[in-house]
Amino acid sequence: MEQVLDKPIIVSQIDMDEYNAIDKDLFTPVELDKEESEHLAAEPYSYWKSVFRVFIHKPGAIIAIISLALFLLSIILIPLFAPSWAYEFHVTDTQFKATGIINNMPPSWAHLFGTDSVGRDLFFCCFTGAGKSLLLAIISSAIIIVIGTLVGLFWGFMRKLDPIFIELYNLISNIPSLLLYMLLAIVLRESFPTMTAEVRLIISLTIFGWLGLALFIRNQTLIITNREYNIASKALGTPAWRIMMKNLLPYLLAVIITDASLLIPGMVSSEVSMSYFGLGLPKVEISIGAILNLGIADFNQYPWQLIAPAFILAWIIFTFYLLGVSLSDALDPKTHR
Amino acid sequence: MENTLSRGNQKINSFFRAIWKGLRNPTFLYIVRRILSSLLTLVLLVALVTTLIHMLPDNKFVSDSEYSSMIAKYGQTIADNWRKTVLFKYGRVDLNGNRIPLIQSILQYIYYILPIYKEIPITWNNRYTKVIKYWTGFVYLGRSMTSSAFVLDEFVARVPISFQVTMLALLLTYIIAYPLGIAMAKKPGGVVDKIGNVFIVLNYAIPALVFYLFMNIVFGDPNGIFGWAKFGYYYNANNPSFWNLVPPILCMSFLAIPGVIIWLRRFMVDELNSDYVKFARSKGLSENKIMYTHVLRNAIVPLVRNIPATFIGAIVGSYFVEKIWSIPGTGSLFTDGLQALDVPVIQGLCVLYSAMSMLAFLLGDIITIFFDPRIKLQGE
Repeated sequence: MEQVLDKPIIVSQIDMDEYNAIDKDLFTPVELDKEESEHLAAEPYSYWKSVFRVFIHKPGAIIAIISLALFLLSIILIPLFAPSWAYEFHVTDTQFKATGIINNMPPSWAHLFGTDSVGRDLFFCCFTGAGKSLLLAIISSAIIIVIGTLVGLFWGFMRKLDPIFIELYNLISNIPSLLLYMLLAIVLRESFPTMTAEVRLIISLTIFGWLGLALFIRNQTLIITNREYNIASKALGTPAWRIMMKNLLPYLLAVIITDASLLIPGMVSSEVSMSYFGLGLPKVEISIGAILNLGIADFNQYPWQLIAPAFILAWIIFTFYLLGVSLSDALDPKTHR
Repeated sequence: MENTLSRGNQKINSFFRAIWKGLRNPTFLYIVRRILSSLLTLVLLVALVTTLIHMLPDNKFVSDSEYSSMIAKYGQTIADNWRKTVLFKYGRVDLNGNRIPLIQSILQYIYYILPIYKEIPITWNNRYTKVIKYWTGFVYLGRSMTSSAFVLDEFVARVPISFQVTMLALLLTYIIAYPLGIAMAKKPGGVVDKIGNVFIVLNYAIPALVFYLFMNIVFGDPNGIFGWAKFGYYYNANNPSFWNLVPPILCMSFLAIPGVIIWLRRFMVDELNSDYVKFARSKGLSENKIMYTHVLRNAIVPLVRNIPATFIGAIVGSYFVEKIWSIPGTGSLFTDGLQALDVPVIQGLCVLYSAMSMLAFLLGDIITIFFDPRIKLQGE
């Protein structure tokens, strides 16, 4: 107790008198509690908890989650209530007479979004088509992310393969992406006529689509392979695949998740663009691109045929973009404190 | 006499030494290396595109219906001969009807795009024994199947209108986006920033194709809100009027604004956290002065790199806009070619666009050196 400070404490005579006058029994010394002293008052840092905490406090994230939930609910539930005539393709007048459906009807209570030029109900078609488009987009994005991540990690590790990959990347990145997609779609359509439109679309979107992500992962890998913990792993003789999976992949997970949520709307848009040029799904199919493509023909007279699928498309893009932006903020450890 | 000679020698020597020094300049060497690697990429690209085209079946060049009608009209032999000549014209078979191997078509296309003077036979006599007409020039990109125009000539003829529309749209974009981006970066998280972010998210959600289609109606409708302005639905190539181009320009720049704002804001916010800005603040400079003279200059360097790409993008044009407003630009050349499956046009434009894109990236890197003396291009 004494001499804690450098300078001696000057205690006056009066203070000492007061101190002596105090009854010593008033005080009980605190016992040292081993457990208590080991306890950390601040909560231990957990990455995913912090991500969740930052994410949930963003208004954009809340809007995105509500919007996503509503969207998923509607694409799952609405097709369940669809009557059988909703998707029927009418070509001749007798077919129209048989079902009693009129084509090109404006929105009404019977047909919430109106009907299209072949007499399908746009309300049910739009939500079913959204489900299909979203599924195609998710499959394409998943393929791109798996291939892009694996190749990117490999690329970052195998320095000898670097020139080949760089050359491949230069080659593909210099062709405008829409042009490349369409060229591939044409070649696939003409060379493999038996291939279904969905498979063709997925292949043409993914066959070179992973290169951008792979380059990004490669750059990140190059940056972090020289960090101390990776050098230590290497020195201990850890095999390369284990370093990739246990050291690098968790670090890159944030980037990959953000990329996924931004890839999905891009893929949906690509499907729509390719359908517009006649290289996506055929018009008889029910997908956002196909419905839009059918509606474009006469949208001067029947604008709802374009508004309905466009609204769904805008909804998809808005939701996933907002989700991606909010996630990328929340996944950044710098925003956690 | 001797003296002057040696002095002349010295001068020549120093001249060559200067050139030698210039040749060994790391930036120069870097650029040479980049050009060489770009050429290699271009050769590979030709190989890739030609391989893809090679995989197409023959009936994309000679339609089956035409072939069968020829058989019905003139009999099998004449129809087969006719089919052979058409395939020969597109470089699928040789004169004897044997299929041309892939490697030969790749080498031939590389020869076509080499910038040397060459003569290429384009018209033959009826029996295909003698060439009647040659194409002469430097770069040959093939000939359209539908209009039988030469792809490069067609492209060059269409550049001015695309360039005009896209450059005006870009100018408008920058005029609007730069002040907005700077205003947003001034107070990150402030009111202006929040409104701007909402605008960006909503703007991103708009599907470009649908937006253009709607705007085409909104601006073009003579009875609509813009009916008084008489913009018109379409650009009339026979009676060109700048007034028809106003709606596409406005729409293009509206959709391009967020892209510029996002990057400008990001670079500026990054710079705002740096030490020199803190120093400038402590020196007592006004916020505006810091923004415009210090931060913007640094933040603009990564954006300057995109200037050549922007120009070349303007030459390439916009697919959707040109199709919807029927502007006869380079973008519509491409989309029409795709829809008609005009193979030589697609192949030629693929190579042309990629070459221009490589050139743009190279120019962007070179421009960056002049804008930012801290950057030295040396490569590995």
